[in-house]
Amino acid sequence: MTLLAIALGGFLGAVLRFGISQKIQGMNGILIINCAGSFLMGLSLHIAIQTNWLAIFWMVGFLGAFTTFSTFAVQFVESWSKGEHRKAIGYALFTVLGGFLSVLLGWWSGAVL
Amino acid sequence: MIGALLRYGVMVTAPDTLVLWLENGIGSLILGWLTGRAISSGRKASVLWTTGVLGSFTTFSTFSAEWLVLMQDHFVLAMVYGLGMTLMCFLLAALGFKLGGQFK
Repeated sequence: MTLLAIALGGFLGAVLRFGISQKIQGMNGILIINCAGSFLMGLSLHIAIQTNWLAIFWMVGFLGAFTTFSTFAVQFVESWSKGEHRKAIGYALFTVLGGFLSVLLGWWSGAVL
Repeated sequence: MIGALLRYGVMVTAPDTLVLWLENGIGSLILGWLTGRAISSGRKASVLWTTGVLGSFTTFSTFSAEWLVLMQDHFVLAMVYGLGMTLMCFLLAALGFKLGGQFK
């Protein structure tokens, strides 16, 4: 059941990420995805404290696969290697700070709800 | 799907504190390599591997969540964690990129 929940959640998360990154290409798409995923994760931490298959489906499977660190890191490196240092550093700052702010906002929103 | 299952495999086998470092580090290294190789050869890397497996194997949302949990009690540790993870993945992605023939 656990493996099925992760596989299904992972599939849906990856497909949605692919869809969004096709519509909004490059850094912007991944930035939006990572921030949205972090917000939802912060929100979900309230709802799904206990480990059940729904929490695993949602947090490990879906949100885990929807957001990505490797694409973020490689986009930074690609941009840096082209000499776009300012753009690369800006992207890194926006992602890390945006992700942190988003998870905080999600957590606070969950506390209010 | 495969990436998420592999990520779960690391979650249940590696020590808790190391899980995300291993996943994001290894994933960034391999994706860097695939991307560098694709640029060098002029062929597009397979979306199945890049967006699919590696994109799902690594994760940002858990990184944010772990940072949030650390932040509640250990401000300095949370900052070191956030900066450390980001820099490590950048360096490993750059190493992969170089191994793939780019970034000479």
